[in-house]
Amino acid sequence: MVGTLRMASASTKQLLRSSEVIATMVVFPSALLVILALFSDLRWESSAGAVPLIDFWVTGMGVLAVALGNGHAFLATIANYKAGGVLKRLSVTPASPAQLILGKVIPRTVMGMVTIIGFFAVGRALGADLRLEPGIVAVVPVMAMVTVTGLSVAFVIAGLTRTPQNANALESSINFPLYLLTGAMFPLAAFPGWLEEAARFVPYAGLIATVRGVAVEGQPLTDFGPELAIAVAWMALLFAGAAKAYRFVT
Amino acid sequence: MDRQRDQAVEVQDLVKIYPRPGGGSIRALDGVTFDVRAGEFFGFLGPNGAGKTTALEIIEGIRRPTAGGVRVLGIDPRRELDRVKRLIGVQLQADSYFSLLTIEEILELFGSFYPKRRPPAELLETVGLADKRKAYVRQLSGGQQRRFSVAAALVNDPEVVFLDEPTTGLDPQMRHSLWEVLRRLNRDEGKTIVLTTHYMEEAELLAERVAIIDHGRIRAIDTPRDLIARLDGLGRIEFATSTRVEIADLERLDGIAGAATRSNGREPGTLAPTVYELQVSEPRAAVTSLLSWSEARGVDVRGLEVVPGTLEDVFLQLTGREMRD
Repeated sequence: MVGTLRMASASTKQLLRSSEVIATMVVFPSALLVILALFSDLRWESSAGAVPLIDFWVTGMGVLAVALGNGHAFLATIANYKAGGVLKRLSVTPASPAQLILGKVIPRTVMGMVTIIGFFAVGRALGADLRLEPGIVAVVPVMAMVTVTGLSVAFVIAGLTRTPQNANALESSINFPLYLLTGAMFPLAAFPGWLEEAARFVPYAGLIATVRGVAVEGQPLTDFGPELAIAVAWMALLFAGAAKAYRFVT
Repeated sequence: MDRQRDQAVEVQDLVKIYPRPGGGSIRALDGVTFDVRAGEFFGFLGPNGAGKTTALEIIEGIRRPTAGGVRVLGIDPRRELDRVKRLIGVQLQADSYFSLLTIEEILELFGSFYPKRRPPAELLETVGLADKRKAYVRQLSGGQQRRFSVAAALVNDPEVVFLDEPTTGLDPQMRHSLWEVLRRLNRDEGKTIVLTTHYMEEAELLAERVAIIDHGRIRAIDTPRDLIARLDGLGRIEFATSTRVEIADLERLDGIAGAATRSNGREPGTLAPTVYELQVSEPRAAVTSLLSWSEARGVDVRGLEVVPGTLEDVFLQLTGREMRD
C-alpha cells in the first residue's frame, strides 16, 4: 500500500514536470473546443428532433479528449518504460505490475476529472447547453471510469508490443475506428439497427451516453444502469488484462 | 540442495537454453555450479556472451533456468521470489530509471517497495553523490550514474548485492572510485557481493574468489592468487634484442617453460630489435640462466622485464584464447 501511494505520488511529480500535462489538459482540449465553436450553430436532424451539434459534441468529444489525450500520451511513456529497461529494473524489486499501474492511474484519473470539468465549463461559455448544477458532480466518477479504461487499454497495448513505435501503430489501428463507434461524434441512433445494438457494447459508448444524459438532459446516474454495467465490465476486464499483459519481464 | 549456514548463494548444475532465431537453440549456460559464501566478494569473470548475465539474472529471479537449482540465502527464488527480492540488491547491466524524478526521489520510491530501507541521504553519501541529490539521472556523468545504480541496489540494505559489470565503459579514474565504494561495502558493511566483469584487473583487485566462465561453462573457481599459481608458467620475462636468437635455444634454458616473439611483423635478427616473451616456471632460475646464456652468446639483451602472472594468463591457458571485449 505504501509502495502504491508512493508510486502515485512519484507519478504525480513526473506528470507535473512534463510538458505532457499542458498538452493533455490544455492544448488538445482547447484545440477541440475551438473547432467546436466554429460549428456552434449546426444542428443534427434526427427522428427525435433537432439537436444542437455543440451540445452533442462537447459531451462526446470531452470524454474522448480525456480518453484519447490521456491514453495516447501515457502509452508513449509506458511503452518507453518497457523498451528502455525501467520495467526490468522494477522487476528486481518486490513492486508488482498492478502497483505500478495503480500508481500511474491515480494521478491521471484526477487529471482527467479536472480536464472534463474545465472542458464543460468552456464548452458552456461557447454556447453548449450543459447543466453545471450540483448534479453534474455525478459525471466525475464516470470520468474516472473513462480514464481507467483508457489507461488500461494503453497498458494492454504496451504489454503486447515490444517497441513504442509498434505500440503507437497498434493503438491507432484499434482506437481510431473504435472511437467512431462510441457515439462521441455521431448519434448511435443514426447507425444501422444491428450496428447500433453492437455499438452499445463498445468501450466508452455507455460512458459517453451517461455523461451526455447527465450533463445535457439532467438525468440521474440511475437511469444508466445497463450502460454503466457494460462500462464497469470493460473496465474490470481491461484492468485485469493490463496487469497480465504489462509484465515486468518478457 | 542443502543449505550451508555460511553460504549466501548456491548454484547447482544450471542450464539455460535459448531458442536461436531462425531455428535451433543456444546453450547459454551448460551445467554451471558454484557457491558464494556469506560476506564474500565473489567475481564472475568472462568475456561478453560467456553467460555471466544469464547466470546472474536466473539467481535474481528475472529468468527461469532450463534446468538446475538456485538458492539465495537458503531460499529458492522460483518458489519464494518476493522473499528473495526483499533480501537482495541488484544493479543491472543497463539500469534505467524514471526520467523526471530526482535521484533522491527515485531512492525514496524504490525504498517504499521494501519493509527494510536505508535513508536516501545516507545512500547518496555512501556513493559520493550527496551533492547531486536534486539531479535527474540524465544529468549525471557516466561514472555518477553507475555509482547511483549501486546506491539504488542498496536501498533495502540487502544481505547480498549483485552487480552486473558495474564499471563497464568508465574511465580508469571513475573505475577506481567505484572500486573503492565496493570495497567499503564489502569490508566495512559486510555485504556479500557478486560481481560480473570482463576486466581481469577488476576481478583480481576486488574479488576474494573468482569464477572464470566461458561459453556457458565454469572453467575454474579459486582465489586470484591460487588461480595464477595454477599456471604452468609463473609469469613472463620480456626482453628485446637485435641479435638473431633461436626460440629453441631459449626454451632449453632453466626455469623457462616456453618462448615466443613479439616482432610486430619484423624478422628476428634484423636491425630493429625483436621482443621475446618467455613463459616462466622458476623466475629466479630463469633470469639467471637467461643472463648467463646471453653473456656466453654475446646476445645484446635490452629492456629485460619480469612480468608476474595475471588472470589474463589464466584465462588464456584455460580457454586457449584471449578475452574478447
